[in-house]
Amino acid sequence: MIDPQLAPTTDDIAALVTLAARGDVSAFERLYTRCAGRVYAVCVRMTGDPQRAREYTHDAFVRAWERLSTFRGEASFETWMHRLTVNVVLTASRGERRRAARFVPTEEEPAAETNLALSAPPDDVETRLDLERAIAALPPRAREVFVLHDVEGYRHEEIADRLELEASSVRAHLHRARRLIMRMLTR
Amino acid sequence: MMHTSLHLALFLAAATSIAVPLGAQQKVDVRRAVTRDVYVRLNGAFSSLRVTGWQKDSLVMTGSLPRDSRFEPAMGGPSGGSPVTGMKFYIEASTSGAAAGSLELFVPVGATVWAKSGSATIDVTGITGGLDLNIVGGAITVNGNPRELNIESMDGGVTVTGAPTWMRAKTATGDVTIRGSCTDLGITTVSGTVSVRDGSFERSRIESVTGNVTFGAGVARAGSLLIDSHSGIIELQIGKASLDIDATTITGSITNSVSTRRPTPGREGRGEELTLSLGTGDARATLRSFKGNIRLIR
Amino acid sequence: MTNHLTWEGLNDYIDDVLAPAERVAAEAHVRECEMCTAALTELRATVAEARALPGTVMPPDELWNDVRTTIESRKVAHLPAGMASSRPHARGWWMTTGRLAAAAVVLVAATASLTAIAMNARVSPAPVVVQGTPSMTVSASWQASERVFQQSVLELREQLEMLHDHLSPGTLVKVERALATIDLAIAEGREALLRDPANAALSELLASNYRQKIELLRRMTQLASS
Repeated sequence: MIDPQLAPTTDDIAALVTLAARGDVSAFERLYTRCAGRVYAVCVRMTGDPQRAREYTHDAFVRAWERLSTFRGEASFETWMHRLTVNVVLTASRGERRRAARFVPTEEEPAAETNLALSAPPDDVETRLDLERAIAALPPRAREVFVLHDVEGYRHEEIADRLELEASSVRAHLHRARRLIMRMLTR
Repeated sequence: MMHTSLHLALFLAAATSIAVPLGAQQKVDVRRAVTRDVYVRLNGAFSSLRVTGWQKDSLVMTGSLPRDSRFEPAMGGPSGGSPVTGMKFYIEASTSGAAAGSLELFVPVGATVWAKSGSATIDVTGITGGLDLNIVGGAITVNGNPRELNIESMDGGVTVTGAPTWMRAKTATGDVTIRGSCTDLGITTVSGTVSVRDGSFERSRIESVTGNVTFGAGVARAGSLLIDSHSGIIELQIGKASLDIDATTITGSITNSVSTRRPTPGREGRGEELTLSLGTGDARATLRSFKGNIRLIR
Repeated sequence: MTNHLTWEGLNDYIDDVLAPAERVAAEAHVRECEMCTAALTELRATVAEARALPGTVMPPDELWNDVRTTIESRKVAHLPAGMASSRPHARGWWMTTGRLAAAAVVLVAATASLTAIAMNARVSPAPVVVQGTPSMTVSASWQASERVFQQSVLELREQLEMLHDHLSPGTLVKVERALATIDLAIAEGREALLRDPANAALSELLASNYRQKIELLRRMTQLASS
């Protein structure tokens, strides 16, 4: 369990980054203590998968260790870690999509709505999902967009740039995600 | 927060149906209009999969999975309501250790189905397209005449009844049983037993290390049969075949019950060799064994 | 009353991405329409709930140990500014894919070479005497092919060991048993071929065993990395 009493103050961050950049693992551990909860939250919500989230959190901190010398201090260390983490998750997601041999999913347009007659809405839900579980149950691309926009506060254009999508597609994914979440949370 | 607005339901009515947890299990119900040659890929944790080819241009997948098992369907193809050309299903294992679920899949007969799991039973019926089935343990059973059939298993058994045009089956310890016909057959096993019966096979190659091989089917006119074994017994049931047979063992023995011809000692006096021509010798059978015995019987 | 807002319209409204004229029209409609007002309220509540999610989720306690192990290993090192690597090396599954592909190419070549040697055994070049055993000879090309094969098997073995925690213990035991069976066959076949290097059937049987080993390793590394 991360001991909150170990979490460094803002004044310490710059000093810790300097020390860690020189190879001080203990200093880096204190930076980890400060950011791990935030990083893991981003990973677990964007992937919907605790196991992958753990792996990506690990990867994000290892990359941060590698790139500490590139941290200039223009933004806060937490912001820098956050951007780096989102990059790790999205890069891995792109890789997974490419590795789906002989199958390239189209953008997740709500084309399935035309098949409504074949897929009746569930009317036998007994358990109400909380929001975190509903997010985890979203289709991957819709989940990424929803988390980046509604949870993390990214703008449509920023998300479009990161995910290499058109802004209109980002909106479509976001609207679909919200509809699915509200449906899951509705009795 | 309670969400009970009836008005809201109007806006949510068009949402895609996705798997929703229900008690300890989640129900799977996916239905889509698809092309006749749709490509379906199914990967992940399922304990049984039944695939049936049907005459409809639609895909239906039903079944149940553990409640905490992540189920991700995805589609490919033109948008705007056109039939889907490809579907992918990924099923992640339950984190609570619950047993994997069971699935049933209906696809157009001309579909290509790719399925991969750990320990699972896969039953396929009525597919004339392509099949690529991969398990570690369990069993694979295929009935029908797929154009292409590729099976990989570690210790799961493989049973094929029908007439695939092209077939490859690879196991480590799983037994392989083929009843029917095939134009191009390849079977590889380390220690599983191989049994090929009935029908007619044009080009066949069977490789075993220690598993016994029994070939009791016909070899098509101008066809070829090649069986290699290290220590497994090779048994060729001739029937009324018209064959040129070339049998060689390095240290084993050859038993010929179909004619009076006797094997001769092998190179350097070890092992045995036998060359035999039955009927008009329309096809060729080459049997090679390191130390397993070779038997020719009617 | 103007037309109800579509689902897209509702979302664009709360996200403040409607064109000014559209926004004015939407606001005018919402003022008069209970249904759209209710839908808007529900949608805003959902988005607000998402925004209010906790900013942190605690990772597993032992994760720091994994991170520390990785950064203290020689595989990861500080880079000067401007030389950032593309990805950390610790979780190497992505990295094994390229190496596997390279190994597979070598394996295919090695297998083809072995098969070609076996197929041409009757016209193989003059045998090379193996030092110390004057009565045992083997063709130089067969030796060369064997070296390629063995190197490829070694590489695949290394990959499989890196990925061994991706396979269940039961599967690993089965794989090792199968490999042991094949290795025994290869050993017996090689010994026999050394004594009778011109034996075509023996060459082909040995090539078959080599193919089986390559194929089994390939399948297992693919299974482990999938």
